[in-house]
Amino acid sequence: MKKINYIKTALLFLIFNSAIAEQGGTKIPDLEIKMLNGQRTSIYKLLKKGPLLIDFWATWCTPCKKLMVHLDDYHQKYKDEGFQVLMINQDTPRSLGKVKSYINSKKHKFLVAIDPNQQISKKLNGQIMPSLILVRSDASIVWRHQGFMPGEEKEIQQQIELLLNENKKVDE
Amino acid sequence: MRYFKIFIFSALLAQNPNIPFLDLDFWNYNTGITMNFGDSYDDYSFMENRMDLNFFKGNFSGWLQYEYSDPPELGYPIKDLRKYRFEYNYGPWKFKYGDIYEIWGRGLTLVQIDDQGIDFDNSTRGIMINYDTGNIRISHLNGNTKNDILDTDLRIPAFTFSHDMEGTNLEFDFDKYSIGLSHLQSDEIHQYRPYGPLDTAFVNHRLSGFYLSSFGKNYDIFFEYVDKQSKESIFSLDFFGNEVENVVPLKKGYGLYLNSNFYLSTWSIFAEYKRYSFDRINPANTDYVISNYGNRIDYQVMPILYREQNHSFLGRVAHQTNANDERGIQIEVSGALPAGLQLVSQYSKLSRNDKWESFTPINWSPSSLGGFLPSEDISTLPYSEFYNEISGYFLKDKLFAKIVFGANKEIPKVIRNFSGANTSISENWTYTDSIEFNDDWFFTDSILEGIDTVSYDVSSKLYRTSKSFTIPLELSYNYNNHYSFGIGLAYQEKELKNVSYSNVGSYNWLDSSWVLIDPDNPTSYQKEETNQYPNNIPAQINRMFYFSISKASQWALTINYDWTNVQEVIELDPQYTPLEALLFGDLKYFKGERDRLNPPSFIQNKWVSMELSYNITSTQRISIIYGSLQGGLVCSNGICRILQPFNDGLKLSYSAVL
Repeated sequence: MKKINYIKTALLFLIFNSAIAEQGGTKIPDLEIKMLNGQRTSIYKLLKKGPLLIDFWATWCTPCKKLMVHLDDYHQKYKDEGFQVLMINQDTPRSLGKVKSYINSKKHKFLVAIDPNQQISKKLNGQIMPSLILVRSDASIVWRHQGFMPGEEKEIQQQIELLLNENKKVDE
Repeated sequence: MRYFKIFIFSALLAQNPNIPFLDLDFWNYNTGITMNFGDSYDDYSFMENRMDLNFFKGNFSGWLQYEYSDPPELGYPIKDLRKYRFEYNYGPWKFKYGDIYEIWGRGLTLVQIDDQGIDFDNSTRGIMINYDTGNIRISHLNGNTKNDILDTDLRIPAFTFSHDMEGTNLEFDFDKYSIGLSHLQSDEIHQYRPYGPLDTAFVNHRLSGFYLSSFGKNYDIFFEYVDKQSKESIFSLDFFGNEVENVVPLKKGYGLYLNSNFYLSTWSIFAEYKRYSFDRINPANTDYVISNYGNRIDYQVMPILYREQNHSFLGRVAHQTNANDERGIQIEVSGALPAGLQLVSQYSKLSRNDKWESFTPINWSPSSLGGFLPSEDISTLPYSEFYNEISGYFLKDKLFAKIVFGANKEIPKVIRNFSGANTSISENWTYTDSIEFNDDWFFTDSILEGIDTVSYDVSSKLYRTSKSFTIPLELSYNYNNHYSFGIGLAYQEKELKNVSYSNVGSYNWLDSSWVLIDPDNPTSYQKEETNQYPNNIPAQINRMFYFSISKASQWALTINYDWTNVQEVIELDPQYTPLEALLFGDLKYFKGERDRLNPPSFIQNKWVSMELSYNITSTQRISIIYGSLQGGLVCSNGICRILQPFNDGLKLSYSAVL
């Protein structure tokens, strides 16, 4: 009986899922974020500079760390086109102290924000780590991706380039 | 269920443009779905589904989380709206109503998180008002929290702690400095027996704290202090039968935390100091929560001073932090080595705040440790940890390698710790008169000529020791054609012993003295060590191997093999799966020559599982795990719990974000 209930629930969730999916894209909310250096800003303020790739990570997340190497490359490679990578850290206060020393030892240049009670990740449904959200300057979400398998960095780069090319066409 | 029906109804009305707020185009929104199903040979079955909906419009935002779990993997069954919150911003003001998660400072006063992996959620259902002018922030929180705590059942909680709380936090920034002041008060109904609401204590907690931080180019420093007091309300009936409340002081304590980071080029030095002193009890009584109340509360999820491990082997031997009574230091050096390598090296040392001495086996007396540093004395339950990690990318970033060496040493429990002196009194008598009767002489009188008093040192220590080292290795290679391979190996040795060091054997309650092992030689000490594992096996040896193959953005297959030579409690693996037979090349299994319910000895103490995950889209993923998974200690954010094994079962999970 429980298995039948499970199947019914699963179907209900999937139907609702499909209904939502058919509604199309949406905009990211203007959430206030606290940067690793203590300064406060918001997602919309960052978007004024250009498109944004948001990723959720934690110091204990091994796939996140593997992905960060590539995201830092993309941040530096496309920064002249206004593109930025925002890494939102999910470490709780218990291990928050290690975040800055980790970033510093890797010499990462991307933007790092902290979200120790996971409220930003909950609002953006980024609890599964790593979780990527590519956002246009107008705050609309272009692409989302969850998890990381080696080799997926090429797909991520492709999505960034598609967005930047889209921007170039608009400018022309 | 009614909330869910309303929710579905709203979604169905989404096509109706005449009701704009029910139209999904009216909102910016996102949804997340997680579905987990599991069923195993030993009836470890669960069905856990959660759906999150976030919606935003202008200054308004909302969050709904519906759960249908019967039973969930951990915790109580839920078939209802589990969480909700509505927020509204107006200039510098922000109003929140619903399930609120807040963090003040580094958590000595308030940390609220929801970690379903260990079934921990300490959110407050209530209201919150924020006032934020950029450099001044004021928050006021008011509501109720219910925390569920496990007893002997590893899946379903037995105790509930309910807190009616209110708190205020003020933060002020100037230049590169920040100051915070916080005050929190909570009226707790503390259930301390698993029988029902009558077995409860009524406790008032008051926490007042402050924190300071400074950020610089080459450094940052954070300091936090909190003072805590608790009072208990005891109810009784007066002469006229009226209920009378007597409020009595219960406990006083404090917490102190200092974190500093220093940066030089690619190198960082991270140093932390903490001292938590909310409730100090003797080292024989290490089970805190239920019967010892009035101490640290579940809002205080404070920083730990050991490494947050991400390898399951290291997690299984992790120290279980004692946030009521612990002091310690942690130092970590990390930086870049030549050839693209990264080094992380960390040392931490912890102990309790007091030395304890047992005057009799049940009477303990503390003496406070001087200074700031942790102690090595066994009665302070010392813990030390050493962790080294080297990782890097090679072959044009195609090969990733990581090797770790982690070691720790701990005295988790002391049963007896007595050091003192025993006095032995012997009297010298001389017989002065005697008579002869039937050819036998009988003494009829004697005189005490003197009393010999001999004093000697007595020491009796009985304690448990734990020592382990772990070496995990990870390699992954990424081919150009989107395929990648990964191999992981881990080796671990763990010793668990009871140690007795003493010149006395037992305590004589009649004359209140210790009984020497060798009465003729009081300085004869004996040290005995007994292994805690069955059959006197000296050390537990654990090995793990995994192999994974994946195609980027599409699928991944992982086979995991976990093996131990001995479990702390002898448990027979009740099932023999085809996956295990295949891995061990046991053809008899497939010919029907094996009794599946009476498996051969060579598969005992081994857990084999296979996981296949498939990405339906970039945000939809399905995963199937078949096989057996070893249970044991799992720690997340410093909160540890023991998970029961999952034998010969199937786990299915689906996650989606839209």
